[in-house]
Amino acid sequence: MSGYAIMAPAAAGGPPGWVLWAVGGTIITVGTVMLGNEVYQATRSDAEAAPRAPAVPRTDTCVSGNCPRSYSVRVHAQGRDCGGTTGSTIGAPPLVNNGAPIAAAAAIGLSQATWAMLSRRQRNVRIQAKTRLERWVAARPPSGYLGEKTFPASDPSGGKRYDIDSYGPSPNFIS
Amino acid sequence: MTPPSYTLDDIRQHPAFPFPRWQTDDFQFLMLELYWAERVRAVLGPDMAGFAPLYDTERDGNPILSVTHSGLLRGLRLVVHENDEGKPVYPDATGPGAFYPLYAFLNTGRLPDGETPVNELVLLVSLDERISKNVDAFIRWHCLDTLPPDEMEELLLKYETEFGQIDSDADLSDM
Repeated sequence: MSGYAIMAPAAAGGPPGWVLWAVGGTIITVGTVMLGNEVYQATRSDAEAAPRAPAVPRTDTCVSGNCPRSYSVRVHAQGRDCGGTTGSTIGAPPLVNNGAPIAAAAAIGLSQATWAMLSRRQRNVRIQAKTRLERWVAARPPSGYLGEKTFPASDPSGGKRYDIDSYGPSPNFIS
Repeated sequence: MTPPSYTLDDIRQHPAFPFPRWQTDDFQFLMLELYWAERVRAVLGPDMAGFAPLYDTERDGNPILSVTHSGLLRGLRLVVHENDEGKPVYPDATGPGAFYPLYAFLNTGRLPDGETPVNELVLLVSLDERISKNVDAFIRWHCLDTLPPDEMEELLLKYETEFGQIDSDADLSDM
């Protein structure tokens, strides 16, 4: 039962009761959400501890002796119009740096390099996606970003998109 | 003592379901995140234990869920995709100019080391339970049945054709 349903009797008392219904219902509902989320997080923790499938390492564990791990960023157009499958990809070679995170400006330059490799037709459906990707990268400093981000084309069928991937021992785009 | 549970039915009872203001309302965003986590868990069942979170959920919903099975090197990423451009919505409209609550494609992702490849299914989703059957099927085929990429590509193409996302005789050659 939601918090709003629990507080329903208060709503029957006219306008003062409505305020009690709204505030009380929100507090109970939010509390329920937080409890539910805690349960989910606990479940996720259990999942990570499952022996038959070891958890994916989320930080640089440096177990191979080849530390430090390099930073890398790639920007690529993807989709069936880039090679026949939804996973097909066209992109400039990734930026790789062994010493320091890759700057946002360098990633935007990489986007321009990838853009230059696309045909007019491949560009036409990705104009907004490219603009959004570059704005997003420019807004990342100082916290930066680590992970994969997809920017769907104006027609995303066939997996048409413009993606950026950021990997490394710590976030790229911190400057 | 019975542990608390939080199911999809519980989430559906929330007065704000399906959480249309998630982009500006933090509580609706949390509920939306919880919905998609429970949706995936409902499909994977006990096999969820083999999957671990990969990258963090982002407040813009891109991604809203990202998990990987490190043994299978299979991943699942959900990205919230809204009709920000005000397109006519399926089933009232079809084709590249229409908005669909589900787009799906494959992606070669990476573990955080930036090197180990992950065969990833990416779903662009809007919370519309009319397409839940299709969402669940894609997750099941990729994560539980571990269909090879070429079979998944065929199923993706079949979905897009049946729903009119693409023309079956669409010309993908360059212009």
